[in-house]
Order: sequence, then C-alpha cells, then structure tokens
Amino acid sequence: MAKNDSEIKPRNKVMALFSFLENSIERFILLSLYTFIVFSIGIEVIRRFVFSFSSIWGEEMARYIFIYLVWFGAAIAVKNKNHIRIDVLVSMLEEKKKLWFQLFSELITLAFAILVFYLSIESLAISIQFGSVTDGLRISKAWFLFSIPLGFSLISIHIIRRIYITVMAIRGHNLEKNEDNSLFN
Amino acid sequence: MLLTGLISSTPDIGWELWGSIILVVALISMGTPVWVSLGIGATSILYFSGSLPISLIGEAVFDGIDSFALIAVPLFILTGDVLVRTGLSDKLLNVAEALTRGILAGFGTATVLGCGFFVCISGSDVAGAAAVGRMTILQGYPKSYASALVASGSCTGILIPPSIAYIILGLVFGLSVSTLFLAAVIPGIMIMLSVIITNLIVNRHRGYERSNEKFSCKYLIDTIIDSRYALLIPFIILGGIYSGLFTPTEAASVSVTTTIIIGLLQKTITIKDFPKMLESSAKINGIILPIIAFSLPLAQALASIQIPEYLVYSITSLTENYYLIILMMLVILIIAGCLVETTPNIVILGPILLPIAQTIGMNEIHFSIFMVTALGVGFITPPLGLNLFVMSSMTKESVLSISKKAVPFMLGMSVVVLLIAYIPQISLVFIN
Repeated sequence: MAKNDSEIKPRNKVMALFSFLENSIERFILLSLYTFIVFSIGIEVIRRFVFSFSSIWGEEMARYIFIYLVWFGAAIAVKNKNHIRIDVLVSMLEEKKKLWFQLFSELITLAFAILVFYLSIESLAISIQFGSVTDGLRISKAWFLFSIPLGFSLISIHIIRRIYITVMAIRGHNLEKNEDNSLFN
Repeated sequence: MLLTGLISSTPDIGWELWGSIILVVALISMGTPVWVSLGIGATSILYFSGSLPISLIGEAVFDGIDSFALIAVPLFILTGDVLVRTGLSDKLLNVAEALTRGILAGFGTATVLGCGFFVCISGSDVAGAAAVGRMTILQGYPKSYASALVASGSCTGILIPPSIAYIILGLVFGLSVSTLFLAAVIPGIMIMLSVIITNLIVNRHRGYERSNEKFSCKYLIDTIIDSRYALLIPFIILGGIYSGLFTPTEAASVSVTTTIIIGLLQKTITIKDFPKMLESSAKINGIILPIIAFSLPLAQALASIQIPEYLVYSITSLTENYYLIILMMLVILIIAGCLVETTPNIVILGPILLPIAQTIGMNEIHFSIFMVTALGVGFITPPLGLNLFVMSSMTKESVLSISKKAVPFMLGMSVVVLLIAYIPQISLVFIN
C-alpha cells in the first residue's frame, strides 16, 4: 500500500550503498519470515488432512517466527514514520513548532525503546542462565527471546536516524523527498 | 460506620493512576506513537504503584503476543494486500454490484458490501476505508456524501468475521475465536443492513443516484463466472471457519496461499512483486501488534491496582439499572472508539468493562459483540471519528462536511447497537 515511503536522499556513494544493503537485507529477512510462517502453517494443515497427524513443532516455530516478524515490522514502520499517532492537535501548529513536537516524541520513543531493550536483555539473560527450552522442539528458548533485543535495537537505530532527520529539518535542511507518511498512498 | 466501611472497601486510587493517565493522554495528544504512549503508561503505573515488577514489560513483548491465534493477523493482512494487487478485489466488488443492481442506489449498496468484505479480509478498518475509497469515490455521489458512506461501510468491516478485532478479543478474554465469529454473524449483518438502509432512505430524499440499470440474472451469472476465482477466497475463509474445518489462523494461511497461486497463474502478480508486498504487510502488522503488546501490560497494571473493581463499585453504587448501565457503557465505548483505534480499546477497556457487564448479567460473548459494535460506531462519530479523518485526508473534503453526512449513518448504527445490547439472543442464537 505504501508506495511513497519517505526515503532519505543518499548523499554520497557510501550512503547509497548502505541504504541499498539495508533495504535488501531487511526485505530478504521479511521475505523469509513471512514465507516460513505461511508454509509451516500450510504444511500443518495438509499434514492434518492428508495424514491425520500434526506436529507440535510446526505451530511452535510459526509462533516464534511471528514474534520476529512483529518487531522487524515495527522497526520498518518506525523507519517510515508509519506508526499510529494522533496528530490532530499538533497539526494545527505552525511548521517549526510541529518539528519540535516531533523531535520530542522521537526522543521519548528512543528512551522507551532503550528501556524495553534493557528489560528484554534481562529476561534473555535469565533464560540462558536457567537453560529454559521450548515445549515442542526442546531447543533453547534464548534463540527466540533474542528477537526482542534485536527488534528494539533496530527500532532504536531507526529512531536515531529519524531524530537526525528532524534535527536537520529544524536547522533548515530537508533530507526527505516528501513528508507524506501515510500508509494509504 | 457505614462511611468507614465504604472507604476501606474502596481501593486506593491515588496519583500513580491519575498521573499515569494524564501522562498517557498528554503523550498521545503530543503526537507520540500510540504504542509508545501505552507502554510508558504501563511502565509508570507499575513503577509508582509497585504492585507488579517492572520486568512485566520485558515479558509482555514476547509472551503477550506468543499466540497461535494472533498469527492470523499478518496472514489476513497479506491476503487483503494480494487481493488488491491481483485485481481480484475489483472482481469481488463487481459481484456485489451485480447482486444489488436492481434496487435503488445499487452502487452505494455495493460499496457498503465491498467495504465490509474488504475490511474484514484486510483486517484493518482504516486500510479498508482507504482501499475501497479510492475505487468508488466520484461515481455520481457528492464527494462528502460518498466519503461518509465509505467511512460508515468500513466500520462494518470490524464487525464482520474474520475481523481482527475478534481475534484480539479472543486473546484478551480467553474465548474461542471461532465462537466469537459465529456470534458476530447476525449483529454484523444487522449493522451492515442499517448502513445500506440509511443510504437508501437518504437517496430517496436527495436522489443522489439515478441508476437505470435493471437487475438481470444473466448479468449476475456472467459476473459470478468471471469472478469465480476471486469468490474462492471468501468461500475458503468463511466456509472453512464456520464449518469448523479450519481454525482462523489456518484459514488465513490457506487463503493467502490460494490468492498467491491464483495471482501467479493469472499472471497478475509476479515474483518481483513479493518483496514490496510483504514489506507493506509486515509494516501494517508491525503497527498493529506493538499496540497489542503494550496494551496488555497496561491492562494488567490497571488490574493490579484494582481499577476494574473500583469501577464496578462506583457504577453499581450509582445505579443498578440494566438499561442505564448499558447506555453508560455504550457512551464510554463510542467516545473511546472515536478517539483511538480499536486495538488498544479492546485490550484496555475490555477487562475493565467486562466485570461491570457481568454484574448486570451480561454474558462474555454477548459483551464482546456489544463492545466491538459500539467501538465501530465510534469510527464515524463526529467530529473526531477516525474514519472521518482518513476519508478527509484522502478526498480533501473537510472533516466537518463529511461529519454532517455521517450523522444519519451513525444514528442508524447506534440503534442497532442498542438492539444488540438489549437483546442477547441476537448474538447468542448460534451459540449452543
């Protein structure tokens, strides 16, 4: 749906390479995660109808991969400024003040992302310490708990980039092609 | 004596609650993303009340969304996206139009049917409003009225299975999603009919649409044959879930696979489209799910300082009249539904209002249906309803002019919601 994703103009070849890598890596990961979920559930369905037998691990893997998908998606939504915000009040302000509010909300988001990152590292450490395993596959749960710190570090990186863009905009340098961030174009 | 009894039985609602609520409201109105605001609210209640450890937040982002039922969300979103890209969605709209041709305002009626179906497949009402709006606006109706119609039609989407709202409710109340879908059939159809009938009445007065087309069986059959592949999708989703063959998640997976295969065979999509398609679906998923993930600990935090008990206590001390309490809940839900998206409302208000509903003898399932329909009305309640803003940003009509045209729809829907609230049989007829 989103065709007009706000993209940052690459300022030199290094930046261009970086954004190319980032885009293709992110897309590749998303592609694999989504495909995995669709296939593992699809195979479970076939298995149940054709062989009247279902495995625990298919459902379990789909659930954990889904969590990876959620936080990856959340990070991409941060990158493109797609998260749901109520901006009725802020949109009444003049341009400069709007940017200051935006900067504020981005700083809050960064602080919160770092908090969640810290808390999730804690529960990851506890899980490793006690060696907890998943119910079906009996493999270490840490592999999947890792999705949270990974997702929130991605969110933090993207929000730092947004803060940079906002700060530059306050100083009068517009780095974005367009400010249109709606999901529906 | 009585007074001290009252005070001691009232839980201590102190500044940690009010401070946190003010904080959340302030953050949201300053344009902070909703999931961040909710997460900060939960953290601050937990931190200041000390009722539960703050590490709850770290667990909620994993355990809270670790649910097989929730996997249906990204799969339904993807189905909706593939339907749009393959053009199968247009075929579905053609069928709706062929079905409703004969009656006055057939085009408007088809739009409402299309909106309902679309949104229920793509899961997000706002996305649905956008998707269908693009296709139908400017077909003889005044822009503002068409916008109001599409906005109202899209509200029906969250009420009609397989809407994501019921999947989330199932998670929050621990109910079977299939049961909720079953309970939602008649209420959903009633709400949809109310929008269609309102459109017919308004049309009779204003004469917006002068359709000369006559209903023709041949045309209908031709259209159905032309759209036979597109019709497979609702057949798989609804048939699979209602027959009990599939769980909603499985139905979603089968429907996504089928849509992709149809698209590839008809060459309306190619492998090259996949990255873009998956990225946008993953993004929508990444927008909805964090809100769920952080609404859950907020709801738990509120429960830990006994807010639900407090509310039951203060409302039942005001009145114990069944009709009045339902009316109060309706007003709360419409206001909430008009301010924020459905997801946080369901997760946060659900556990708070359910005890009240239960004290007046409302069944869990009945309450779920009542709650979702009431929130749906909030979407088009002037002047703040979310769908009004979405339509306004799409069509460049002012929110006020769309709001004016949306009033009859909103009133019609409210009547139906009251019927649903006061007559439990409407929701429970298929259950047991």
